[in-house]
Amino acid sequence: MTELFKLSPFELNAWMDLLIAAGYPVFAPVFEEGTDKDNLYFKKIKKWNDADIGKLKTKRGPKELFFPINEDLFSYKYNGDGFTLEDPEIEYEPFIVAGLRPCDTAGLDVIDKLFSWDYKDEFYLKKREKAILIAFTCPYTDSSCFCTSVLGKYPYKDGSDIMLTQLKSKDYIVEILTEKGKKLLSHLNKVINPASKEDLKELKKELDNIDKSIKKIKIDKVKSWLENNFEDDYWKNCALECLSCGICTFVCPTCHCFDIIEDRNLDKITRRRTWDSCSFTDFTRMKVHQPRQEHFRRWRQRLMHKYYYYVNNFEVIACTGCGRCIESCPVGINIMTMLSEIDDKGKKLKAKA
Amino acid sequence: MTNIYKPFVMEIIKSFQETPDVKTFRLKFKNDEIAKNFSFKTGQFGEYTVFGVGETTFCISSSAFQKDYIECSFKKVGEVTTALERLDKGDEIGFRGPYGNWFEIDEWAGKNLVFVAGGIGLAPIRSCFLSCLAQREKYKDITMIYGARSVSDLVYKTQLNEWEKRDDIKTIYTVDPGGENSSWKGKIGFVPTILEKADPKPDNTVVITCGPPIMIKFVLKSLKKMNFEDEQIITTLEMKMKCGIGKCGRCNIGPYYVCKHGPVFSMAQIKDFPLEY
Ligand SMILES: Cc1cc2nc3c(=O)[nH]c(=O)nc-3n(C[C@H](O)[C@H](O)[C@H](O)COP(=O)(O)OP(=O)(O)OC[C@H]3O[C@@H](n4cnc5c(N)ncnc54)[C@H](O)[C@@H]3O)c2cc1C
Ligand code: SF4
Ligand code: SF4
Ligand code: FES
Repeated sequence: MTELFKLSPFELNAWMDLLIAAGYPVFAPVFEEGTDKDNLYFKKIKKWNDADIGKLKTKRGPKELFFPINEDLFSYKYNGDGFTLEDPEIEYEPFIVAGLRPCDTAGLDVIDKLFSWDYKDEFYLKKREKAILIAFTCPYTDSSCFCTSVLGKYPYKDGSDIMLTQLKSKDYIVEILTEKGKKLLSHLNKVINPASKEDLKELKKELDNIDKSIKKIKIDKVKSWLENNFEDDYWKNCALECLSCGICTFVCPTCHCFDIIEDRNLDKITRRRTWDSCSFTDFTRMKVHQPRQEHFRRWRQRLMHKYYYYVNNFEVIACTGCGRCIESCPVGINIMTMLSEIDDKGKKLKAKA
Repeated sequence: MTNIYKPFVMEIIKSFQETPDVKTFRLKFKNDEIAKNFSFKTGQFGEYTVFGVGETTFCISSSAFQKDYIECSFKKVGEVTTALERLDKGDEIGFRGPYGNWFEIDEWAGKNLVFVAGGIGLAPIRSCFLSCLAQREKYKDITMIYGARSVSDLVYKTQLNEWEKRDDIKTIYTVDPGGENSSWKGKIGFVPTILEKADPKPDNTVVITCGPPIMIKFVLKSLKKMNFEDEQIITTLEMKMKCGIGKCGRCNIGPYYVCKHGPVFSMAQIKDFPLEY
């Protein structure tokens, strides 16, 4: 379903505030106090004015709203006779995430597959089920964006319930994409103005312009090269500067690896999951054996996982081309460059064969 | 909610020190309903919780036809296994499972079975072996070749003796040279050497092997020499695990998650795996 209509910034503001007033928790990009002023994070807002949708990307994307950095799995205590275990008390209520970019919703679509693979991870899936996603197309793009090379023509729409695009006139074209999204319309305190033919033309122009501004790289030979070149020397010389700091995986909207730990308190012990990273040296360390000791093995795992293993298991690339890892890496390692190099190798291989 | 990470409480109803650093626990669910509904297939594993310490991965080492309890045997190596080793009969632990794939023992009907195990590798093999013995009539010859570093490193000694007495199976036990003692009546030599001497024939035969990587490597060489095909050789793999259910992203070897696509693999599959495990 698609329904299109038009809203002025003022009307948008009123709509969002009405949703908040109606009791929806609304999460949107806001500056986190006390940190670098450039960093936006998804936080619960009290009024739409607190949201900052003018800046392109949040530091870490929206995955932490569904898969928190730390999450209690259950707790237990000894009651004198034996152990009793308790689920964490979580109330799953409908909530709204507004101000996502198309690539943000794509990231969630990617990890949905993992968390519903055979064993359903309700901690994640229940939140996903309750969430209503309002995406805003990008006000501008930057040199680290390459989403269209992975996700196809701009904008990726599948993950959003509602998508808004601001026109030159500052008015928004609102696309209602799902039933969930449609429900929010009842909170719109005005007569809905359908988008005119002119508006739609402008919308298309706007989206085409964004599409054109995004860097295009070729990745169609990447997977076939990865499948056949685990032992290639390329790996030994790639990402030599990598510090194994794991930032690239923490900011990534599709990285989902976690550790499971015990938080010991006197009266109650909690088992918790906490984000982990394949870049960390201990990730696969066992007592007598560590299969990924050298760091190139860990970088190889990261790339292979995203562009080959995940595709095999879930038929989708575990990367959205959001460019966050490129922006955040302290030593400037660039996955876009690596993908281009690998695609070139893939082409040469094909040419030889 | 259905909480896939929350274990069930089990009681240790029997504890047995197999070797100085290997222990076996017999476990029973505290909740009768769960006990009644529980079943597993041989080769599957579980996540075991030492309350207050953490979780760790072991195969279920008892027969899949044993409905009253499950058993696990573990070697004391690190944090969780050291804490587990201190527990005893009457203590409680947590268990989630069964997870992973299994030995397709019904597909082996009408075949000869050769089990080749080293050290604590006998744990998964024992589950498979016992499950096959429970339907002995389905198979032709069954051979068990088991070796350990020394006599004191042999696990399941009581059962080894029982198996030796049966006349419907062939057992060959061995210890590494220098690991024998004065009362040792079995063979002396490394498992691959003993396997070659036993000289099982590849026709209509499945080999199931588990043990330390170095043993597996040479067992494979020996089997090749004896003209076994990769498809006939079944083993289990280990990778570091946390969740056991394909979520935490830790246990993959190439595109294969050991916790989901494994731990049981045929050599024909493993042959194509990237060498990173
Ligand atoms: C499918 C499978 C079946 C296994 N079956 C048995 C068995 O029957 N008997 C037995 O003695 N051992 C078995 N292991 C190995 C056993 O899991 C490890 O020896 C054990 O987890 C070590 O835990 P630890 O906390 O004492 O060690 P530490 O080194 O302190 O481990 C810390 C954490 O790392 C993980 N870990 C460490 N080593 C391993 C490893 N080799 N494999 C998987 N996870 C590891 C565990 O999750 C543990 O919580 C099996 C491993 C796998 C993957
Ligand atoms: S952010 Fe950069 S330095 Fe840190 S682990 Fe990733 S690639 Fe390595
Ligand atoms: S790998 Fe980098 S570009 Fe791809 S989704 Fe993750 S952070 Fe974005
Ligand atoms: S152990 Fe977590 S993914 Fe396999």
